[in-house]
Amino acid sequence: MERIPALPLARALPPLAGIGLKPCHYGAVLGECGDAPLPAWAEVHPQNYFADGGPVHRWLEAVAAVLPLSFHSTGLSLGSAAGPCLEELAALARLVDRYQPAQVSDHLSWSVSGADHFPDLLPMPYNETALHRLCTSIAMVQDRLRRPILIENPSRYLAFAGDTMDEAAFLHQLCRQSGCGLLFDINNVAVSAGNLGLDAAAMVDAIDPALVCEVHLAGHAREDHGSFVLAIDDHGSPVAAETWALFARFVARAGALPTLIEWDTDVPDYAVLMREAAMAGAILAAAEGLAAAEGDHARAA
Amino acid sequence: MLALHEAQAAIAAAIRFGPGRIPAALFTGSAERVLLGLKIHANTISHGRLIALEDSFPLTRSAMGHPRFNRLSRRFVEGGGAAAASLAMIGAPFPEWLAAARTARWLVQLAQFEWAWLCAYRAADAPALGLADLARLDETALLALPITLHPAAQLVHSDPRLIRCLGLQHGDWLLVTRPAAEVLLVGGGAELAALFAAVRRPITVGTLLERLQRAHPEAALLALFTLAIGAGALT
Repeated sequence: MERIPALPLARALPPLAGIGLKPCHYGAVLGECGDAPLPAWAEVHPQNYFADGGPVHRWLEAVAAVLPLSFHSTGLSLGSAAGPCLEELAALARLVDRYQPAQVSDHLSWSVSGADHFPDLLPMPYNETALHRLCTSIAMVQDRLRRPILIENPSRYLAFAGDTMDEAAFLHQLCRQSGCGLLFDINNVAVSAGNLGLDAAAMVDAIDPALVCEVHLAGHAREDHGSFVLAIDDHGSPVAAETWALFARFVARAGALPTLIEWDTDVPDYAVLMREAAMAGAILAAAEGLAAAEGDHARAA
Repeated sequence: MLALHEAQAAIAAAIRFGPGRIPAALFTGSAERVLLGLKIHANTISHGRLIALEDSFPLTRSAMGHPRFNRLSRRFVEGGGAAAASLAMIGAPFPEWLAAARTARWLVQLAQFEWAWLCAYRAADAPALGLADLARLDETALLALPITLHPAAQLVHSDPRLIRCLGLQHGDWLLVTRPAAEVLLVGGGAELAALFAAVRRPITVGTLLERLQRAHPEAALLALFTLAIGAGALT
């Protein structure tokens, strides 16, 4: 497949920490709760704003006026054998036209089969057929939105017997063939590695940082099944120590990137979310300092 | 290895009907491990649908009690009632399903009201016709004025007891509107339903009054027209 030429992004996200924005935190972000600090940017699920009108758009307009926004879609079903969900794409295109977010992303997954719509991110095999299907769907979406999108690496609970490449090789091929960028979810790496017996550090090290435009961090649950522990990507707790370590490892190599704290279930107080964002910010600043020092050293040499 | 569409159809069937539908060689790992992986996906899907129903019908849930609401919504989801819907639209067929499941009539009507409320809340924004707009017109211009339903306006048939519970005065019809940010409710009788039906398509004020006067007294019609405009039901 021919590579789609990269289009300029409408407005880049800053290489700082942002938060997944929930309605319970609108007030804090809009300065209605005293002097609460602001994140550098915010991400929303566009499906929550597909309403034709009404209060949700008043909120989103107000937030978009004070923060750069990223749209993290969950419904395009890019991996569906029959192609992406066109109804979702039409709704997403209307929303993107209206708000011109800094970034648009979706997942390496499928959620529609025949007439069935599943509210989940179902797994894809890592083989040539899946790669071709995803590249074709991503091309359709990028053409419709008139911009490159980002694709998020999945949380995996199952591995297909017919996989012909590992995750990093698949993601690299996907980005290079379709012209999309990578939304690198480091919590998903921790979940997949734990569940499938893979080396999480090696998975992180295998990713080409030049393809990564955004990073996600989140918490996950752990279920003890006696002979093994299953990690569940529920976004319902603080970022795990292992994930922080993987993040620090990645950004030490990649430099600072827009990094999101995702917390979708049992959403905590705004202050808790901002503390997590501050931790991410500190690691990004350290990575940036390291990169600057290395640059100085190289120039001096 | 199955073709992509075959693998996805098998996973979809396993989620809907149970893991017996999964071909043995599709995934790596033990049968127990594959079953656990599939269960994570099935639970996420079921949980997402149940939470979406709870969020769509908070008053119905509160009125019938959480255990009963949960039992009924599980039956709805497991029976395939939500299979083809996005989470935002999952509640559309739920009130009718409750009726078919012989749920008490007032609870069905409460669910219908809640869905109408949600539709009004999400509807397109549009300027509502106001009494001040009409005051600027002479009689000829007023009668020639084309009007239609505001995109947010919804009408549901409701037990008068339910209408009283919502703090409204009378009637067995409930008009749900959202001319601006707030959702508004108005109770009314058969003449309200007749007005609502008449303005579903664009119509002039003159034609509307002429049509409704055949069945309703003029004074009641003017009061009703004023009520509908006050509620932001017309545009």
